[in-house]
Amino acid sequence: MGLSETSPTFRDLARIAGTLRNPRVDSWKSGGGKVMGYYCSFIPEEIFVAAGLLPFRIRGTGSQGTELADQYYTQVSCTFPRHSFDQALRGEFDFLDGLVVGTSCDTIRHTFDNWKHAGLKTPFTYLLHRPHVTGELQVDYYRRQLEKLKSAVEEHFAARITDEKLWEAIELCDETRRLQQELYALRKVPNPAITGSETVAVMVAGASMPKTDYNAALRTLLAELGTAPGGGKAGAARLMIAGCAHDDPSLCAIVEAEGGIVVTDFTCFGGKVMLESIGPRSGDPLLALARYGVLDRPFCPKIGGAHPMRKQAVLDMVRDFKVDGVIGQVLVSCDPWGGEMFLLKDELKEAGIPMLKFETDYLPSSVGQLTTRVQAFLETVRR
Amino acid sequence: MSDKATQMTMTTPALASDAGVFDQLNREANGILAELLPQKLLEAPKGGKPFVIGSDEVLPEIVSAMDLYYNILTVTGATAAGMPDGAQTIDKAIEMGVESRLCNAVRCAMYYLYSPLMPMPDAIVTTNSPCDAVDTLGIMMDNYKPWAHVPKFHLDAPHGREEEDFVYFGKQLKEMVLFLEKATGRKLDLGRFLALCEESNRQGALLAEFQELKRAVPCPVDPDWARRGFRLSRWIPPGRPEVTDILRRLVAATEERVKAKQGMDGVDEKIRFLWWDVSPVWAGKLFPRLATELGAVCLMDYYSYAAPWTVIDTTSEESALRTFGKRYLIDTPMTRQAMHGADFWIEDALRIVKEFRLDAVVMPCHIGHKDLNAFPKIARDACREAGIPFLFLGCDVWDERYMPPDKVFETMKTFFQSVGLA
Amino acid sequence: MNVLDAYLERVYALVEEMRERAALVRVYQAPGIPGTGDLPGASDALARLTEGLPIRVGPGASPGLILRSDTFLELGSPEAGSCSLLLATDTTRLVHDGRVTLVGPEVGESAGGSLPFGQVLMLRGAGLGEKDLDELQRLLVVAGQIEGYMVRSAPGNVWSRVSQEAAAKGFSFATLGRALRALVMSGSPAVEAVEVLFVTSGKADLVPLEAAAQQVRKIAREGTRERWKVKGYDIDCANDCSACGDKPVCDDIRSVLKERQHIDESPGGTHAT
Repeated sequence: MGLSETSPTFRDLARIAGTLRNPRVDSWKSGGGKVMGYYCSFIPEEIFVAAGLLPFRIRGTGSQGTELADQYYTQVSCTFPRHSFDQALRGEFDFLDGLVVGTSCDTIRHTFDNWKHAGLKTPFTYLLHRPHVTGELQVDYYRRQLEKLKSAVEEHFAARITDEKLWEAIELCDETRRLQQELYALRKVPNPAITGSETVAVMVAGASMPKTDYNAALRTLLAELGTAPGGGKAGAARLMIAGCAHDDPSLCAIVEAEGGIVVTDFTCFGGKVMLESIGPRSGDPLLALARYGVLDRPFCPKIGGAHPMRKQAVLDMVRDFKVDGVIGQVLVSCDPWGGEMFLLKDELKEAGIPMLKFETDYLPSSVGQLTTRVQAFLETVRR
Repeated sequence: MSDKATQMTMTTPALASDAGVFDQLNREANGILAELLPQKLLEAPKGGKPFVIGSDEVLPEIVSAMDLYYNILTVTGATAAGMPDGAQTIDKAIEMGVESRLCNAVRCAMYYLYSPLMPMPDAIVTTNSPCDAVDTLGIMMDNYKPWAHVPKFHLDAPHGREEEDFVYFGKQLKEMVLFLEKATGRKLDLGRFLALCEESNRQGALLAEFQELKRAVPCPVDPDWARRGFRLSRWIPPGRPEVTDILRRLVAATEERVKAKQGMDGVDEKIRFLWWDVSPVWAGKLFPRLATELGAVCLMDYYSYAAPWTVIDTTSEESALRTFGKRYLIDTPMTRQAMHGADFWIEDALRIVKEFRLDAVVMPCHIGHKDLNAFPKIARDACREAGIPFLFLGCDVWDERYMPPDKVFETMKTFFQSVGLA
Repeated sequence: MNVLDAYLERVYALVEEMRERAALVRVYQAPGIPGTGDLPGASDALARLTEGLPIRVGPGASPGLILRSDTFLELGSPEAGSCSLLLATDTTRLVHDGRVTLVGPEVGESAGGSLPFGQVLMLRGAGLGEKDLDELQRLLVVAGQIEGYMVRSAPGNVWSRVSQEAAAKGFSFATLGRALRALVMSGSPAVEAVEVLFVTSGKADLVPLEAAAQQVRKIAREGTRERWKVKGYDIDCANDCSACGDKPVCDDIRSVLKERQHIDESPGGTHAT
């Protein structure tokens, strides 16, 4: 019996993850609140929280195709921005009051251009310049970029973001990360009470609803899970997913339907966002955010000089979660993750960890083929 | 154009100009550009100088002033893709299992890295510019196990184009110099550095002058000379007086043709177009045919729009590095077009069309350029609004098998006919 | 009130500062023209606006190329220094239509030379503002439209040449100013008045103009009036002012605006320029 049957809290979070404009967003908006959309995981939500905004991570949930977006991108472009932008063109993001896009990969960066060119009804748009190297000079540069973003948000939303408010927001988001870490820790046991696909839903919901509500829901869920029996099969192969925009529980569901269990992940909506924390309070909050983004959590493969940190984070997870095999998921046309997987494959092999690497679209089109490959992979790692 | 010359597009011009002085310039330029041939590049580090390898162009003046041998691995890959056996190299690279749509120049570079064909460097410099693919190559170089012990430096090229961005990049260049000094034991000779910058400024001014001569209708010489001039002055160790001399004579000879209102030999120029991407390695199979059969001349591409460069302020090392930061971020081909917003790419295209009296914009949209593939509609709309005929192609500039030159020719011919240009 | 008005004020103030520093300042006035709204078509407008000029202006007026050997004067080379600033407003009391101000040597005084070059075009028209800068900027790509004058391909700046032939015909900065005005007014019906400032006096004189130009480019890029609205008499921007190299310019503008507020609010009100 899955959490959908046993936990109303989980059902609520799964509903939020399963759609874009969800009841929590509606409730926030009806109370006069504003919503700030953003691409990608490194964008500091704390600045938006401090401004009294609801941060909402852009995704393509619910997309059935990219017919509208295909005017703006070619078939060579990554399907994550294509699907999410298609949703935007269909009005699914009309509830956003603002959009901040970070200079991550080339396709996401130009999604900012497309968003503006399409005349979407997003009153505030901003391109945040994020460094692509980890180092002290970059911290200094990034801090200035965050200062600019803060000023722009303050001006547009008539908000005043004080250091005190920023630290409060950092503490709130640190609490989210701490609770998510607790959730992941529950999966270290032989027969976890939450599956990989359920975890994806919980993590995605975290970037789609008010943080205070989310933290409260996580606390409830953690309490429920603490006493719940494991849902997986004893002795199932313990797997980890590594890759980029993994916001759809279906990949994990395929793996778990075939008898494996996804016990952790290193993805942009999942494990990557909750590793490390920023606090405790000390000095300039923007500097703390900059240090966190550039030095502590350079987990985007677009950041040079930081692959050893990413590799170590993956290996640490493999060790801590007793992972038997890693599934590397790359969205077709994603150069940064394509390179990262190329490296990781050899590095994991050296560490004695089998890896299945596959390229897929944002909406996997060949589930049958994927299932077959997963079956074969499970055969190689099954105990 | 001979078959051999067609195959060697990277080192010979696509179109012949007049005999005499241009033939001589051609021979001299080819003699120098031969240094970019993969075999030469692989042999060069054995010359005894410390060997520094980079993912992209950084600052040739700095490495030359430190008497280092610098290899741009992306250029090695691109050159390899343009060789007669380029397709085989690409196929071998694909077999290595890199992401299926990675730029083939970068794939070839990765093949050279992992084969392993590249000699062991003394230092590695990587940069995130100009595009995702080269950034990825940098991360490959950075984490290539046999080179694990080699000192590494990472440059962060910002996407902004404000003064603070130039200063930021300039500071990194200063750090890079200190890194290279430590890694190679060679000191930056400030006097030599500034002298090289002065020579580089002279070459930049000559290229800018040549650039202007392409305004003449008909275009007096093969426009691709600008791209060759760029490679002579930026990819070959810089500051060579013989390169300055070639450029000076090139400008003088071209001016004579302008005065004589002479166009390219054998070309009845009717159409002038912008190929707003990297010139393909199969250009020799396309551009001469377009020129001779349709009178359609490719006047400009990313690398033949290499002017004017920001003048390096040689007042001090600091000022030189800061202005280098600007030159790198704003003037370097590919970095200029790929690192900034779609508006910047479009403004350039529209301005060039007007300044050089072009008739059409072709957006080749190389499949490896993830940036271009993300804004074809914006480009099309902007050209339509400005009343400029626009053609989107979708090709692989490093591999003619993706869209064969014959097919590109037919597509372009149909396009020129449909908009009334041919 | 237009956010760019402060920059227009700043330009006027800079001219005064240069005049006080004993720089040679010349002011030309283009002949009066009928209201552009009455003009039947762009080509007719162009013909009237360029009447009496020693050179031809308009599409096809020039092959767009002047060789080094045919050059009388080079302006704004990277070595000499260059700055280009475009301003647009709908504030009537700003922009003196037809006025061309030159600070520094004239064309005829500089044979065979190379001069620093600052070019400021100040445009006025109903509803014009920062949102129009990008489109108006495209009108200033005047390649091949001014006989004897070539603007080189140097995005962001003006690096140009005046031919010997044009100089012999009497091409001056008054000519250039009128030609630019004609091209802009005939190219955009929204533009009702054009004033031009040229600075050839020295590289140092371009520095404050360039600082303003950088700010204006940022404003043009933002493109949204909301982001750059004037709050009271403060110029606000989305940048970290403490880290911005242009802070002194903004501070100057703030002081100019405050001064103007003081004048406007004083008995007798609006000040004349």
